[in-house]
Amino acid sequence: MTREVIHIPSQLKGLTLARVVAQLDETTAGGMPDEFVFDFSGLRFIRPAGIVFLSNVMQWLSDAKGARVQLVGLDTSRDAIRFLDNSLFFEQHCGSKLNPESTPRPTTWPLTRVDMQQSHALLQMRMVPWAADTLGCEAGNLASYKTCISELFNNIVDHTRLDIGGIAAQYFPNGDFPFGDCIEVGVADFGLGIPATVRKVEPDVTDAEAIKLAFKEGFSSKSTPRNRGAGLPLLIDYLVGAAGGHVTVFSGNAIVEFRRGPDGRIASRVSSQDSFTPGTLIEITVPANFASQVGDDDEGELEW
Amino acid sequence: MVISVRHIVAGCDTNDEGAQIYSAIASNLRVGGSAIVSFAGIQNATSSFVNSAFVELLNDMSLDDIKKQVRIVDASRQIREIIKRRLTAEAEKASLQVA
Repeated sequence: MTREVIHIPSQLKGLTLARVVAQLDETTAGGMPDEFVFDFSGLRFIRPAGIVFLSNVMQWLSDAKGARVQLVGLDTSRDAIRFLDNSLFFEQHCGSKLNPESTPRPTTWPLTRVDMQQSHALLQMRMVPWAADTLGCEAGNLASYKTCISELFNNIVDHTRLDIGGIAAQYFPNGDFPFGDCIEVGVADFGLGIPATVRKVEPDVTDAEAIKLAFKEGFSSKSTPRNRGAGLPLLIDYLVGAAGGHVTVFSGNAIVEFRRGPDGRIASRVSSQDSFTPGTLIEITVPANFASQVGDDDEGELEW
Repeated sequence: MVISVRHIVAGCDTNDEGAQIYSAIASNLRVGGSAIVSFAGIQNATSSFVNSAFVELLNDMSLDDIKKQVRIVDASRQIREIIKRRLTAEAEKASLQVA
């Protein structure tokens, strides 16, 4: 039996994910091993996108590639492992929590497999109330944020082979972003991935170019007749342009970041073209005060 | 008669929900020549919903006629913005294709 060990990096957040997928690329180049061992002994810090990403990769290896997945180095005396346990990661991937008493922290939205038929109800009934409670605002102030996550769910329905995605979120009271407190969410799917979908209509683009195209107003892969290419650009406008947040898209061999520059304009930057993400992972980080900035709760008539 | 969105659909998230609102608007326009759509109690709408509920109307009438005949009331800022943005963008796209 062939066996490969993947060492999880100490800081599993944002672009460090590329280190994991690079290992995976190297490992699978000569053929798929029978077993993958994920070694968590070096892990010290993990973010929601990291949780969703790892979950997706493990699921992809076992479901799509038929490999056995084993987890080692699960020392519950370490904060990162306890955090993963509280996020219900091990419950979903090992069949039970490491510590039976582990439970999500008030600031944590745990790893959740999302059946797309139930996704909008989950958002409306459970996730938005959690975010409102965590941020100390009214649910109405999160209308734009909810719309963006709904757009992602609709995108998953339009493009994925399996009608299932994953989501996790965390409020960081003392986040390390320039704007201080922040809320971060990771959303992932098992679809074809943005590059493969875009290349159905634009065959010659690179993976990075495909991701940029997918977020351009009016571009559509026409995967469904009603698809008009408006949802993803809207997400960037709301969360990056208006809220000043960061959006990072991982799909295929590319990672593309969207940020608001000092001039207020939205800019995209390719941060990797030699990694691999099965499906698509989107990491959204917004300042905790975005809800009060947006102020969505005033009802009125549309004036043209 | 006012079309109360929340009495027709559970939310304004999907194309299918938008299609139900489109049917109600089209029906009101056929019968009375105008429609009032109330979003009271609804906090947000996605582009998919707006595409199916309102952008589809551009197949039946011009944007100017929509502005005159379809009133959007009790709508949150996000809903007002996305309806305006989507209709304007699609009307412009259609006019460029004609030109």
